[in-house]
Amino acid sequence: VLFNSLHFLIFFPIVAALFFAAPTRFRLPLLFVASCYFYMALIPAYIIILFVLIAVDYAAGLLIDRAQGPARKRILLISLVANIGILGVFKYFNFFSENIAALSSALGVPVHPVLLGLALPIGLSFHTFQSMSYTIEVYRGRWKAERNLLVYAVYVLFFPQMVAGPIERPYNLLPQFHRDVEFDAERATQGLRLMLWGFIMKVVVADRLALYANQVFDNPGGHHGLTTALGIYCFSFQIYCDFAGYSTIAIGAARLLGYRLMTNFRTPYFASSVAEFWQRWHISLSSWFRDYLYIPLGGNRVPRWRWYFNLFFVFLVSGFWHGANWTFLVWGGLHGLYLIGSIVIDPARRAALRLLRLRETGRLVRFAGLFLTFHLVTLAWVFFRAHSMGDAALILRNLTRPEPGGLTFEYPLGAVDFTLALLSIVALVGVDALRGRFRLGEAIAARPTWQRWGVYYASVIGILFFGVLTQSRFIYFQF
Amino acid sequence: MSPRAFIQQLAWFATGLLLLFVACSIHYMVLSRRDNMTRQLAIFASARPEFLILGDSHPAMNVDMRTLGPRYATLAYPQENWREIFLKARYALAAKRELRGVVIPVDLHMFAAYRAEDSGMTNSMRFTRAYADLEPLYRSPLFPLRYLKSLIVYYAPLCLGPNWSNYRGLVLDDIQDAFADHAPRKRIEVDDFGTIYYSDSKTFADLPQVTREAAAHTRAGELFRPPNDSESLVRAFDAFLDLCAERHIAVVGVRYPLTSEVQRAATAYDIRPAEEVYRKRGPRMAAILDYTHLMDSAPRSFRDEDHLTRAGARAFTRVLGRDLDQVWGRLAMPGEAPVARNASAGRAAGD
Repeated sequence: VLFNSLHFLIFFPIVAALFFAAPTRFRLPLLFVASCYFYMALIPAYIIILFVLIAVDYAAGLLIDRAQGPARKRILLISLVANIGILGVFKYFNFFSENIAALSSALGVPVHPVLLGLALPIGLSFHTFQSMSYTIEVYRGRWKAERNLLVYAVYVLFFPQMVAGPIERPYNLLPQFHRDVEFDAERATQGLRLMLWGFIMKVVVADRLALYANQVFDNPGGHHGLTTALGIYCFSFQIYCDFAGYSTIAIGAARLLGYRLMTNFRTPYFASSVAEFWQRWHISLSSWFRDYLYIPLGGNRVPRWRWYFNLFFVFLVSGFWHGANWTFLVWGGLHGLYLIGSIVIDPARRAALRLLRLRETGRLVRFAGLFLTFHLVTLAWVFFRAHSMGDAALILRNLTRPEPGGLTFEYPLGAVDFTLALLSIVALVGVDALRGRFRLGEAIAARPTWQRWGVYYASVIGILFFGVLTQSRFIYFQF
Repeated sequence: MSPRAFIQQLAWFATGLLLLFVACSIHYMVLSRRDNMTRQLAIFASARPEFLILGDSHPAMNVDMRTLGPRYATLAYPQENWREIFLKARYALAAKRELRGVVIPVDLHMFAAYRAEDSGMTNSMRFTRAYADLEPLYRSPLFPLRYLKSLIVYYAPLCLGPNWSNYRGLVLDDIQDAFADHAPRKRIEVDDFGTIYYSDSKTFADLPQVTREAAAHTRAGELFRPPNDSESLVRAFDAFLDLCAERHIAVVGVRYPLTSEVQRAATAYDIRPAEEVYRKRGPRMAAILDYTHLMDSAPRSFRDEDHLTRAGARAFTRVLGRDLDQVWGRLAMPGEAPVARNASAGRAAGD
């Protein structure tokens, strides 16, 4: 079920109503059934993969809890191999097969790649990572194994966040499934407000910007100069609104049901360094890599060369997590290089600031940092979105070539809509700026009813009139 | 706030949304009065025609009603299939007792697969909403549900996504007009005589040869993709012929001009089933006038693969009008068999 579909608009109120109407003991089974339905509406058979993952990791958790010494590690490894193995088969097999065949051919031994005709289960990378975080935490002894299979199954399957996160941790989500949830009107209103904002981000901003970004990325040779630049900027905001929109709807839906999911985005384009960007962007994934890969590799408590390697490696893996394509590896690698670069030049930067008598926290320095960070991140998005490395190179080359005769966009929704698309970016930046200063949701909640409802009605009208109401998938569903 | 109070507030909020929806629906209905079909129906209502032009975009755009004169009226509209033509004919024959004849398209795509695709019966509900009328035409296992859906969309058109998009477009256009000079946007217009036409002045011949051939290939694929004798459309066609026979209305079939490119591309498809449908029913029509090749020597008369420009439509209609006059003239002669020869096009029913 897509959040931005009529299906969800019918499904969710029914589930929420049944959830609160049902006696407490029936609520988890209801969430389990609803989550299975939610997933099976996409590709029904793939629910079996999830059941296998649940069974393996549930058993692994119990066995790790009971085992002593090296046996604990062995069981953890079996669980990780099972998770990564499933990811490998469905997501990475064809990539490795094609590249090994290409390498072999380049070395003079032509080989036909063996390709699996398997569709990638939606959100596989998300629930495998969530599942792995559970077994790792049990192994580390920071979390007791979950005895209740139903609770564990709902932890993996919880429908608001199962296909595109936030990637939850056992210590945040599992205890919530053990508590009885009472209906709380204020919390429900908060949830609905978040969902409304998420829908605006997705349907009004992201899907409209996609109309222009797609033109450049789907026809990289057909546009130059300013058109290409605008297309890239459009994608930069599209992916933010698409993914943050999804996360916000997920968090809102969970909140309405009485569960609190972790924050996944904190106005990332207001970051004044790439390191800060990763503290604000896809927080549940970046913190996953920090906790379960970067720190185990030694983090920054190692020799400097090894620290650089750790950073680069983690971002390379992060890129690969997103997709089995060289473009994602380059995207991740670029972010790794940005971070290493920022560490290397940091002494020089500080010296320059001292020389210019500028404060680190001063407005000018922050704005310069923000501007630079945004453009570095946006440049990396070219690789993330391009269909191939060749396309990415072509887009970057065409970016430097002026457009003869003005913008070459087609206007699928009319010229007015293009203006609206650009205005929506301005509005989004404005809202993000306000959110940085005070809690916008609470500020709205504190207003008199007619003002509050005015905002809600305006939001609904905004979605209905300015939204792109075709059911486009969320970009992160493919991961 | 108690759950009860929350639900009450939610219900009030939803009521507000419902009222907003009703207001938008009323606004949409007001705006819809501008739509081409409504305008065409209004023109028809004020006319006193003896003959009626029915069919899809070919008669709607290729027959210039001003040239044809006041004895004729048109209810031909793009994309219509035999189900809609039948219902429109029934409505028109009931509304205009003075009608003596109808001119229908006997193009070979009229029973094609893409025409048989049934996207709902909301448009047909302009002419009848009776279950018993629609069921035989739109028969399917889930007909009651589809009927209900169409009925809901008929009374609350904004429930349907495309209608909402249309409404949104109209409102945004009006907002834009309030701030800027009005620029005509609608590509398809209807004139004061009911003729549908494109507001631009493109001609098919302006396109490069390769583009024309490719476009013709695509169009032929759409028009003639088998099956070319869809059972549901043939059934509706028979119902139409029965209706005309019952009311003693003469039927003249017209095959409209096609570009040479589409004619060539069409040879790749088996169009015999459609030919067979017309051949069997030929005796039930007063004449079949075939103009497929009429404009072969005037390629600039085509706006696209199979529709004429306004000038092309006027030239074609002069020929059609003359031939129709001959047909009606013969029919008027007492004792003469209702068969007419097509003087201009050289092919007639049963040939």
